Amino acid sequence: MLVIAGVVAFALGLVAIVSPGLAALALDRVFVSVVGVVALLQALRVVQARRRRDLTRSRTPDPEALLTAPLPGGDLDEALGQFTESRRLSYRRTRAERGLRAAAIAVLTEYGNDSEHDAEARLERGTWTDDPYAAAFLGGPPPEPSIRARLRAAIGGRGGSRFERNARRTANAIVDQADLPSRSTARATDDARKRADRGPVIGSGESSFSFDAASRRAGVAVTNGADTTDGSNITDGADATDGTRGANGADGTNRIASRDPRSTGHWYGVSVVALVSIGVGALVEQSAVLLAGVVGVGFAAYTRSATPPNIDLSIDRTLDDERPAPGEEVEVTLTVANEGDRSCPDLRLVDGVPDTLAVAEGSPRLGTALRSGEETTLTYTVTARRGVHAFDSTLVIARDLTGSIERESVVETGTELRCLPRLRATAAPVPLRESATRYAGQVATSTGGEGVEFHATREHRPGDPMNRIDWRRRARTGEFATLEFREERAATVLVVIDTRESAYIAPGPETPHAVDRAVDATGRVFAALLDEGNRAGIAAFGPDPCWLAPDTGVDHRTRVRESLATDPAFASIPQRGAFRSRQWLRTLRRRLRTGTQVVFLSPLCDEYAATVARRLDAYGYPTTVISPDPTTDRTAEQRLTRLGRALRITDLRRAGVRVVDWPWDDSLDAALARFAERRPG
Amino acid sequence: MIAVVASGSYSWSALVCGLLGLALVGLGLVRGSRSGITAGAVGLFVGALVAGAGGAPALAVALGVAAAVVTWDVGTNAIDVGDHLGREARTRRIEAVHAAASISVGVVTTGIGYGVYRATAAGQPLAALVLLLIAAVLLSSALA
Repeated sequence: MLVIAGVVAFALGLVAIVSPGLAALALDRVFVSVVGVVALLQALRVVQARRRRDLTRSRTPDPEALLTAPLPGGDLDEALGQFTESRRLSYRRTRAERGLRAAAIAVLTEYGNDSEHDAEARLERGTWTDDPYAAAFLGGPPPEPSIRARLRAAIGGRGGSRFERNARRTANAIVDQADLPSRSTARATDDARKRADRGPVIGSGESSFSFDAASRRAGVAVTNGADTTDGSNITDGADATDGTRGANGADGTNRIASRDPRSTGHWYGVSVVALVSIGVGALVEQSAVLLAGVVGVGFAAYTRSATPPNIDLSIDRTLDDERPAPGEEVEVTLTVANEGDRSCPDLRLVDGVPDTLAVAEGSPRLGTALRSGEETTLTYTVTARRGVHAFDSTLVIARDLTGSIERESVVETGTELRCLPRLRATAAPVPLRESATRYAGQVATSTGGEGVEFHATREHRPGDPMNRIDWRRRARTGEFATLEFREERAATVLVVIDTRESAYIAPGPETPHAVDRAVDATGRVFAALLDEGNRAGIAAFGPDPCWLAPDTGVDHRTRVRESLATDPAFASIPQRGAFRSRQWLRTLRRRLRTGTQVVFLSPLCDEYAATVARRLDAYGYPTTVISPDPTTDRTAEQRLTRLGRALRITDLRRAGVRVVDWPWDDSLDAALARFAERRPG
Repeated sequence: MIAVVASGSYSWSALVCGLLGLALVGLGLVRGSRSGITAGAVGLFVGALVAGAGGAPALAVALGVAAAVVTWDVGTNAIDVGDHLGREARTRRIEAVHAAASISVGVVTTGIGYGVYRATAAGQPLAALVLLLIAAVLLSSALA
């Protein structure tokens, strides 16, 4: 409508130029000014429209960032929850108070040698701590604060309500009462922390990675687009509607899923330049300013010329080593070629780096322009980690020359990086309990029989071998007696790894989380057990059950190595899904003969892990816990978690379960050696 | 720069506007803010118009306006690329192509406009001028 009117006006103008007589209109300068004002008003409207309009730009994900595990502790409520049984108390305050009280009593009875009654009395009197606020918080007499303290309280500390501040203070006082071994804590450098802040955190709810979502979205667009008349713009190397992951482009055909092109609004409102120039020019009566309006019209027309870009790319990803060792840097080369017959003036690529791998050098992103038939490469390196890491599709955002229309596509390029750590046995022996199988091996049992170490003597029975008759006693007393030696048998061991989501915690953003350490330790413990002639198996205590029954032999060893590296149950990001621990325990009892030893690897940061260890022991599976310690002591919550864990370990040891405490900054060998030293024999 | 030189050499107030705009564009580029660049480009644009209103030659004004538009386009596009690809990625090519396209559009339209201006500079009837103005307003509104 406007265009037609504009064309008519333009034609009339031309006519007026060619033959001034024909368009004998009486137009004066006032009319020119009116046109100028109208132009300015229109310009204002366009500016307003532009301001209201959101820039509809696609977002690119952050594939470089590694998923980081959360720190232990969580919030105060959670940290205190581990000391109280009931969680159904309605008030947060009451819950916090009870939690702190329980923690204080536990600490005083454990470390202060008080009986429970004494401890309660001390809490009432407030004599358990030097901190008057903490004492008052748990029922002691109210403090008489110094002016300085009162001032500080009035000015307010860092964050939180007064109640929360006091609760934290009390928590700190309680933890101080327990003389936990002081350890250097994982202090992240500022740089590392900054990097970690950027990265998504496991289980934080925010979608860690939007490639999945992007491909899903794009997948929908493909099925829709194929039916529309616009279907010719969608390029399918393979059949896009069959929904299978297309084979990777050895022959150069990648499956491309594109969304419908859309306007970016980059140039939206550029006509304001023309309108303002014309308006001002008409008002000030300067032809030079009027002429500048032509520029605006030119750009507006240029913007109009935009056509949706075509994506017809082939992308090939190669790794310089598809099976690297952990810690090795792998160079990834992405070759992008424009297979279409039109050039792509504006291509933005973001490669789908697996979120379990960190980019070590370079950037997995590229912005380029490709003529038809041209190709370019993008190189970056990633640091290999245990596991199978499938590269995601490459996200391609193509724009036309003007930048006003863009099309978002996902180009599938399936590449896998497999990193299988070697199974290296531990240097120190794995502590096993005295329970064994009928196979000869290295676990010393309390049964007498054939062996090396002296066990006991017993009355001679006819048929006993001659070399075991105690001839000295025969010489001394004339009686026959038979010597018995301590039998050494092989043990059957099941190594269980706690892979519940709650176990995915790390003391710092740059340190491996507890599950990663546990899986690493499992490999070493398993290798050590097999080397000593035992039968060993592995199992995951988590939503994704992995079960390899205790066995021996080279095949079994390979199988376990594969599983530890590639089974999704042991992946370095937690598996989603409900976990029914009761059912898990039931299945375990059905599968596992009594007497089988269990080595349980868990950070022991929640009460349930300890319960499971105790229950396994009670079911007749002698249990040893190896616990990678992920706790730190930066905040009150983290200190409480550490306290809870320390109390849990003491409880477990008292119940007869062996616990190897494995500090985060120590090697497994050192932890095992220390354990063996403390408990000779 | 071109915008400042083109318009600033004809009037002091235009120079002030232009320099202010340039400073804003620079700030916007460093801080990565779109509105900074937009404000700066508006400064450049206003500078060109002020120069034109003060009687600067048509070619200088047109070039000044074109340069302002190109500055805005290249600046915001750079920020956009930065958002998508980050600082570490290689993006020179994409930006060069985009800038080249915008600059050529600016130069070509300025050339055409100036050519037409020179050809028809000999006084035309007011009616023709008014009708052409109306056409320009309507068309640019339609093109938005």
